[in-house]
Amino acid sequence: MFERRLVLESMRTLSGRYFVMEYRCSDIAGASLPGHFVMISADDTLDPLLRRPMAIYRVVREAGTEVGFKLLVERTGRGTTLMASARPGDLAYVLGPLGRPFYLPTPDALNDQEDLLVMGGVGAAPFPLLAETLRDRGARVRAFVGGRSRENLLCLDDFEELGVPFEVATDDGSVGHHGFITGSLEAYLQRSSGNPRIYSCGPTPMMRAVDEVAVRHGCDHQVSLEAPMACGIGVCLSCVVPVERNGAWVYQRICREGPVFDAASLGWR
Amino acid sequence: MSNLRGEVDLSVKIGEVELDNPMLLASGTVGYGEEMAELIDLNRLGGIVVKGLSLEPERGNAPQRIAEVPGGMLNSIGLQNVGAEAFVRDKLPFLRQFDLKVIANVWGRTVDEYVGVAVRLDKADGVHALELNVSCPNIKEGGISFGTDPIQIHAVTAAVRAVTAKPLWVKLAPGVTDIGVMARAAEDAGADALSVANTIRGMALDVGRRRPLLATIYGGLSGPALFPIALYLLYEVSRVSSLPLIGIGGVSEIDHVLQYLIVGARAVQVGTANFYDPTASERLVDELARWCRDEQIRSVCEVIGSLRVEAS
Repeated sequence: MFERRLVLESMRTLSGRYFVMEYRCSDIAGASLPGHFVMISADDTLDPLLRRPMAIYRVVREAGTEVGFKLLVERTGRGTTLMASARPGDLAYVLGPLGRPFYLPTPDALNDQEDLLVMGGVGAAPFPLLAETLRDRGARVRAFVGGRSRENLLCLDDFEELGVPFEVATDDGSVGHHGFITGSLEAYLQRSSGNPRIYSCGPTPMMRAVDEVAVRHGCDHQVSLEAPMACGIGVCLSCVVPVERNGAWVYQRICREGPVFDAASLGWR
Repeated sequence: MSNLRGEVDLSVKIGEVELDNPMLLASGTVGYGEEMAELIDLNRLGGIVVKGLSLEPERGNAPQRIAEVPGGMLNSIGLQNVGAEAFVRDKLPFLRQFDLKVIANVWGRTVDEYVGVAVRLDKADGVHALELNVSCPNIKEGGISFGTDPIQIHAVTAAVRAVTAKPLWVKLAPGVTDIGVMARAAEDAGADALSVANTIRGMALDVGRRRPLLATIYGGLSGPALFPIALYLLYEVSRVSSLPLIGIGGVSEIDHVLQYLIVGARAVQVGTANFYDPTASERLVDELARWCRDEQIRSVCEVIGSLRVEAS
């Protein structure tokens, strides 16, 4: 975990209200694993007061060394609107990497099953880094990308660049499967063999629907959760979620024991 | 004039508790110190006030537990904590490694629960003082219901006073008609110092859904927005009490620290700033030393209570 003042290296606006911020920081980049996040404030204002949690979307490497990281952000409120107005050269306060990353399959388990990444909207943010990491280890990775409409489908360029096959679904049918991404996932699991490992991130109803599919097909399922969060390091106790432990439930911190949880522990089943 | 920083004496005394400097970490914003120790050098601070401890472990309130407001935030954590027993067993050994004072914040739903926690902590090596939380806005019984009634403040303070030899601080509630009455009640019952103040109740809505943002409807306001309120309350308490005072509320820059000291606080607690600026407390120690040096002040004690008010 590093607390840094960083200069915005580049800002790329995507379709609609999505944008990508790139920062140079070998410390944070070098320690970042798939599923990690940072707490970031791109301004000095007291309104909003708090930093925002953002998943590490890509790690930037030069000559094999991690030199920076990118964040994929959706403009939704005051904080992200201020972030959207940042320009290269602007300062930001960044704390990271934070949280517990995705569990990766052990090398001997890697080829037993496929790894299926299921995402909705800006929930796609942690998956290009996960896909890249799994691919580099020789895993068979496939992405399922959902969104309300065409403009809400994110990271398709990333998966194309990484050589990761993907399927898309939109609620309005503007592209891909007309309906929820769980429909595509269900159809894929019915025509494939084995019990792929599933990873999901997106709106809670989507992740719960993915979990129903995962249970039906006997798949392990990890989810990456989000909640209003003040500190990101486990001291404010804001971002708790009820988790089953040894037959009882306890509140665990999404920022510290998560953001990645075994879906089986969340009391959804 | 070499090594100017070394010439500034930042040490202060809260009764018999000697602090290397006036900067404390506020209860409920730093857990039991473990996470903060990854980011700052705890040895450089005056002390830490740990998360409010109860007799039994406490699960806390249902989420959503926070909401942002301009210049601040509302929280309704519900005093989630590991309990006094587990604190002493599992958390205190970690804090004993550091050269800073450890103050245990104590709360209960009844006087007996406060007393039970105090008894457990009274024997704990490495706890330098107790801070009675009679002011948490987020639990249904206890907490703030003690802090808004001078008779109850007196009763709980006296009861804890009777079972512990450790220095006893009382953390007052801001949402009262006359905080001076509460301060006097705590002082009369044997408090050694007063912490002014806790969060003040507030509320925020999701307009579209016409629902409160917090699961408990209301919560405690903290952050810079609270600073002028708490500063005024400290001033009011300073007029009626001779006890050492600790300023709490919105501290995020050196100007806040100095205003509390000038009004009469011997120490300040950094709270919500730990969330959005986690190295603030350590930086403020440096800035306080620099400010004193620039003002040619050799001891920070010269600043404390130096408020000038024209007689009217």
